[in-house]
Formats: sequence, structure tokens, C-alpha cells
Amino acid sequence: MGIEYQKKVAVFRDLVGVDEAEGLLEWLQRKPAAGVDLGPCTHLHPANIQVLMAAGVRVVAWPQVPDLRAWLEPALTPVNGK
Amino acid sequence: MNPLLEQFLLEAREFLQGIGEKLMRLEDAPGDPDLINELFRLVHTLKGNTGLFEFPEMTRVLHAAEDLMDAVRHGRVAFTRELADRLLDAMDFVGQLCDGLDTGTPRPAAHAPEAERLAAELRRLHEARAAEPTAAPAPEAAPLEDGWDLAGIPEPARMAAYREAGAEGAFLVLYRPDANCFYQGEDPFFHASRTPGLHWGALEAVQPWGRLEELDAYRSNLAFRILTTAARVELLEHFRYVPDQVVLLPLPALSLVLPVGDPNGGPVYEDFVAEALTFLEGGRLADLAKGARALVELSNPDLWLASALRWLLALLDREPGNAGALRALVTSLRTFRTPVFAPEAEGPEPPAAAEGALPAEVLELLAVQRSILAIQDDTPWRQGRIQAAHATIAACLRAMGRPDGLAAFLAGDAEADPGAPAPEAAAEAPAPKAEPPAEGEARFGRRAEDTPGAPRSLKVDQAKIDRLLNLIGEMVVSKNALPYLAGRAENVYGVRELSREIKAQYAVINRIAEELQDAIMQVCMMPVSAVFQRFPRLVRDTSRKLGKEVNLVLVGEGTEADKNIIEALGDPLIHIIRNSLDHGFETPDVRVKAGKPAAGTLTIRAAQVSDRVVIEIQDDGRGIDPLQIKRKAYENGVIDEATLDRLTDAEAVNLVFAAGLSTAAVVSDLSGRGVGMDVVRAAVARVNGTIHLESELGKGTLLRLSLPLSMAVTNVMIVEADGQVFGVPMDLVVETVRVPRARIRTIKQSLATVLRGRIVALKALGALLGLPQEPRANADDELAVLVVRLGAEPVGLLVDQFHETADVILKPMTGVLAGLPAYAGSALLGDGSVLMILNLKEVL
Repeated sequence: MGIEYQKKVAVFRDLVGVDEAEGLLEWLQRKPAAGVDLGPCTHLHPANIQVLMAAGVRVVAWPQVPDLRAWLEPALTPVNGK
Repeated sequence: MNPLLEQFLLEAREFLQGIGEKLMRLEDAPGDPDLINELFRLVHTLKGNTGLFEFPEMTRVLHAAEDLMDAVRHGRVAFTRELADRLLDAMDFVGQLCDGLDTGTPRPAAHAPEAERLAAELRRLHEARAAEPTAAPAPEAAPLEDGWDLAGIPEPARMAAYREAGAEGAFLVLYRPDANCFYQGEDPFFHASRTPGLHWGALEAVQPWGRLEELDAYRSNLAFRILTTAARVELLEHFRYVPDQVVLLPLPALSLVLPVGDPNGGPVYEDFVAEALTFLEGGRLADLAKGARALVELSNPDLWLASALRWLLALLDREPGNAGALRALVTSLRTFRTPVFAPEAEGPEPPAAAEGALPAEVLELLAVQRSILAIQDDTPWRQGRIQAAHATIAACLRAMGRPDGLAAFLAGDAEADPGAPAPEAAAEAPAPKAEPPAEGEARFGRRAEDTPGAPRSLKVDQAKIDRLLNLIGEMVVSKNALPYLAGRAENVYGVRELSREIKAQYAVINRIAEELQDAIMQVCMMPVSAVFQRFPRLVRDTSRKLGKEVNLVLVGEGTEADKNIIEALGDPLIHIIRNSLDHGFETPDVRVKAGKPAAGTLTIRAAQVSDRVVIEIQDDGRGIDPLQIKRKAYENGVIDEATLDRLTDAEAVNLVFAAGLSTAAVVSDLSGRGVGMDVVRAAVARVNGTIHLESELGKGTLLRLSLPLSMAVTNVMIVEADGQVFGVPMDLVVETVRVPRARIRTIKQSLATVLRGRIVALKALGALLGLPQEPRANADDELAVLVVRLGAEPVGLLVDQFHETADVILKPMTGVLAGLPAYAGSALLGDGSVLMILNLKEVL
């Protein structure tokens, strides 16, 4: 559940709700070089997505859920990213 | 149906009727600012009301209407008959939705496209006029053209969509959620990912991302692009709550056929193209597919050519009959250019039309258009008619590959043109395009009045109800005369038979009268929940604003009382609750320090006590300090010094009802202006109610409102004391007993007796009322004791004689008599005499 902040990686688990976005934003501001592990994530609120997109964050692992990955991969991959 | 919805429907009908009327009157007097304002107000209120429910269709149409009326109101748009027509259409539509809700077939979602159309029409009027009086209708919103980069969609997704696309083709949905949507608890991503028929979706930023430090995580900057093969109706249904944030771009299936990839390298395909064309000419599609498949296997899958071949296979699969498209695709293999497909309609090939003549269907269509254009009248929708004709003709011509022939046709020489090329699919093309709106017109163009479905509620003037109440009151009284008549028939005239028959008839009339009375009472009765239902919200909002925690407990919401009483209660109760929240409850930390739970409890209790409704508002807050009240009252000149000393604490706390007294040190926007409680008392007094306050410092406050049930027919027991009869409300009476004088004991100065093992205090009614006569005993030296329950303890009233019980209409004392607290009121008896009804609470 929610986001687990490790030393260099934030692990997204299951459902990541809207309340997490603020904390995520702060964390990413503090650690610009950090990555995110979306592997165990099943759904995340768009507020979190836009934080990830804006931060141009490095994704360590993509979601195991194929549909979610299909949405997120193009948006969060730096080459395609805007 | 819940009462709120019922109320809404009732009001909505009224509003709709009002709007209709105003529109009609405006047609006679366009530009009357009062009427326009009134109309705006009606539409505005109605829209506001719909917001209470989840009727997005209704709200959308009304919202558009409101915007339009606002523009009219401010003179930005002139009021025209067309505008009135559109508004009436919209109101009819709303009326139909209401009918649907009323008859329990609420499928408003099915009306979503219609709602969208009406709203768009209203908006078009508004925008077109606002921008420029003569401007053509605003073009279809397509602000995101550069966002429709189909080639950017991965080929597998496009191919899957192509294969599954229905008759409508596919749709590209651009969904741009409102920036504030996160605050409204929406999850647009979830919504987008649940789009029916989804094949592909992408997330995009609306504005480029700025610096991370400036990012507002809760301000949505996302847009969703979605490729779907769902039908338009399904999509509108899916996005029915956010239609203004969604753009649907219909994609003909062929527009998805976009080969992408590296145009360089790979084998030379010239041979294949030539061969493929031959196969095509010869209709040898199986061979073509085989060749293409072989070539795909040879090619690098990233090449443009490989992609084109894959599409060729898909095309062969899905519409092998579409030779034109196949040819275009094959030819494009030579040029590496995106194939241009002629705008051919899909479907079966029409029977090849004879060279040189237009197909009969097209001729028919054209003839109809011409006759429409020939109509010489000056209707407001003439412009639209011309546009429709134009669209039809243009579609025909496009289907025939002659998009520039319109002018020639309008001149009337198209039929004479022998060189018109045979169209490939002309006949089917315009027809399906024209049909949906036509059908829609038939279904929704119907005026609301045409639909049966009479409203089930009746609004009746209050005066008529009052008259009914008075009449039934008189009827009850005259009905009561019958037993007397029976008595006279027997005792005076000595006709026993007649007496019995009169009594039998009386029983029948009595029953009917009672039912009638009950029915009329029901008409006027309303549960107190009508007022109570506002409180949870009020308490929640107010307590949050004050930083307090308060639980609201509502008891006895089903208690019914006269509508007038209930309505009169609303404002005083809100006042009381606000007061209680503001002054009564402490903040959580203060409460915890005082040893109370952090969250306070506000209990609102309603109950019917005999002929009154009693509403208690109890809080467990800090209570009222009688000393402080006294001092305040003295300072404010409410009481003088002498009174100050004399007042008991209980009397002192009731001083809060005096005018000009506010105990709050700070005047807040909620309460504390010193206009609170005296206004409450005045409002309660207006409906013959009383208000009483009990408070214990530190423990809480209890406010008790006692209100009449209005015309309550009271069942009374008639008793006699000193030769006079008095009525005692039946619900107070516990029993009537005769007690031998010997068993009455004197304890100090009070009388008491033991009834079924319990001591019951006895009081002589005569003495209480100041009558000289001692209670009279009967022949067996027994005294008549009427045991009544008052509060927790039963009390015995010593009377001379018991009489019968009777239904009476209790009329409150008025004028000089109003000052006699001993009596609750008076009533007329069947023999015409007046019965005084005792107010035992005051008497004892």
C-alpha cells in the first residue's frame, strides 16, 4: 500500500492514492537522482503520475500489470517524454 | 422515491411551467428586463436544484440555458424567437427527464447525446451571437489538431482497432480533465483507463512541465489520448459527467491504416507492386495475400515497407472488397508515401450504376433537397434548412468524387450532365448520415405537453385546507350531538327503539368522521425530518468551522406535526443549533481537560406529547452560568437590581431569551449578536409554542420547545367538580378509581392513598382551581379519583363525578382568557355547552 521510500528508490505498492502525491513531490525534490520502482503497483492516482512526469524520474522497474505499464512507459520514458 | 427527489420534481415542474410562461410573455414583449431577470432566476434556481442529484444531463442542458440567459440579461445576446424555441426545447427535454424519473424509468444516460445536442445548440446561439451577430455557427471545436498524430500510435494498437472498428469506425478521444478535478475526488486516469473499447492510451502534459519546485501536484496538468473502437453512445455514456472535457474525433477505419517505419533499405518492391496490381485486377486476393505474407517474412519488421505490407494483409482480411483502398495501399509501396484513401463509404458495393446517370437514390435525395430549398417562407430555422440541404448534397457529391460540383448542381443542371461518373457507393453514403438526426427529431422534438403522465402531486392553496379543517371540526362537534339526541329520545320522549337506532347511526357517522378527520390531518402533517434533514450538514460545517467536534444525534424524526408548525420551526432550530455549537460546546482540548469526551454530543429529540410536539435540543457543553447571565442582563438593562437578587438560577438562565442579551464575549459571524434567542422565542411564540431552557454549568444545556400540533382533535375525559365539568386530555389519564374515604391517609398536609402497592398523592381538583366545594363522595362513601401521569409520578385528582370521554376540537384560549394558564383551551360539546380543558401541568 502506498509508497515506501527507500534510500535511493521509492517503491510503489498496490494502490497509490492521491494523498501520496505531495510527499512524493517533496521526496523527489530532495533526491533528484532517485528512481522509482513501480513493479508492485497496480494503480496510481494521476496526481502521482504527473509528479513523476514532471520530475522526469528514472524508472527502475515498470509495473507488472501490463495495462498500467502500457500507459506509463511512453509517458515516463525520457526519449518519448516531453 | 425519496422525499427530496419528490420535492424536487414538484418544484421542477413549477419552474418549467414558469419558464415556459415567461418565454411566451417575452415573445410578446421582448427586452422586458424584469421578465428576463425573472427567467434567468428561474433557470438558475432550477439548475441549482438539479445539482443536488446526479442528473448530469439535466444539469448540462440547464447550465447552457443559464449561460445563455445570463448573456441575454446582460444584453450580449438579443432575445429572439429562435432563442425562445431552443429554450423551450431544452425545457421540454428537462420535463421529459422529470417524467422519466417520476414514472420510475430513470435512464437519463440514454438521453446523454440529446442533452449534449441541446446544450450545444444553446451554446451555439450564445457564442455565435456573442462573437458576431452574423457569424456562422461556431465550427466544431477542434483545438487540438496537432494532437491527433495518428502515426504516433503504435501500429499493433492501431491494427487491433482497425480490425475491431465497427460501422462508426474508431474514435480518438482527447480527455483533458479539469485542473481542479483532483479536489473533487476524481481519478481521471482510472476513468480513462476504463474507457470501453480501449486499444491504446497515452498520458500527456497539457502545459509543459515547469520547474519541479513550482509544481502543484494537485492541479491536474494531464491529458489523455485514447484510441477506442467503442460506439459513440458508449463513449458519451462513459464520459457523461465530463462531456466538456472530452473531444471525440471519429476516425474512419481506413484512417488508421498508416504504415510507419524506416523508408530506407530492404529489397526492391517494384516487382511485387506490379504483380500485386495484376492480382488485384484479376480479383486473385488469395494470391495477393500469399505474396504479401511471404514478403513480410523476408523484410525487416522495422521497415516502412514491412509495415505497409502488414496493413495490406489486415486490409485483405477485413474488407477484401474495397479494391480502391487496396490499390492505393499497394501503389504507396512505390512511393513510400502514406496512402490516400478516397473517401469511400464502406459497406457492400452498390450495383454498378449505369454510366452517365446518377443512381435513383441520389436523384431522389437531391429532389427532396431541392423541394426543401424551394419553400418560400420566413421561418427562423430557414438558415439551418439551407445548411442541412447543403450538407446532404455535399455528401452526395463527395461520394461521387465530385466535391466541386455543388454549384453546378444548385443551378439545376446536374441531372442534365451526362458525364457524371458512376459513383462507387453513393446511395448508402448520405442516407445513414441523414437518419440519426431525423429520428432524433421524431423522438425528442415532441413537445412535453404531448406526453401523458399527469403529475401525481397536487398543490392546494393553504386556505382551502384550512376551510376543510374548520368544516371537519364542525362536523365532529355536530356528530357529538347525536348521543345527546339519543339520550333525549330515551329519557324525554321515552322511545327506546329510536334511541338505539340513533346510536347505531352515530357509530357509523362517528367512524366516517374519524377517518375523514384523520385523512385531512394527514394532508397537513409533515414529519419533523423535513426540518431535521438540514441539520447534519449544518452541524458538520459549523463545528468544523469552529474547530469543534460534535456528534449529532437525531431522535424521533418520524414525529409528525402540522406543516405550518414544521415550517415555522426551521429557522428557530437553526438558530438554536448554531448557538449551541458556538457558545455551548467547548473546543476538544477544553473538553478533555474537563474530563469529557473530546467530541461533544448534540441531541435533537422530537416527540409528540399529548397535543403538542416537544422538541428538545440538548448539548453536553459548558452550560450557562446563571451568575454571568444575571450580570449581563443587569448591565444591559434587561433587569433591575431588585430582580437581580430575586432571580433563581433556573429563572436566570431563561433570561437568554430576553432581547438584547448576548453572552458571547466575541461576536462571531455565526451568533452572538444578541438577536438570537429572543428571535427564537418570538418565532416559537408565533405558532403558540413555548420554549424553556434548563442548564447546568459544566454539564450542558437543554432547550425544550413545545409546539401545538395545530388542529389536533383531542380525546378528553370529562370530569365534574363542584357542579362544573372539565376536560382532561385522555393521554394523561392513567385510570379512574373510586377510593373509600377510609383508605385516604393524610401525610402532613397532603392526602395520599395506596393503589396497587404504590403511594399516590391525592389532590382535590376543586381546591386546585379555587372552588369552595369539598370533593363529594358517593353513597358508599367512596371518592372519585382520576389518576393522571405527570412526569414520572402518578397523581390522583379528587373529583366529584366521572363523565364520558369525548373528541373535541381544542381551541386555544385567546384574548383576555389567554392569560389563564390553568386551561389549555376550550371546546364545544355536542349539546352546545363549553368545556374547559385543564392544563394539568399548570394546575398541579
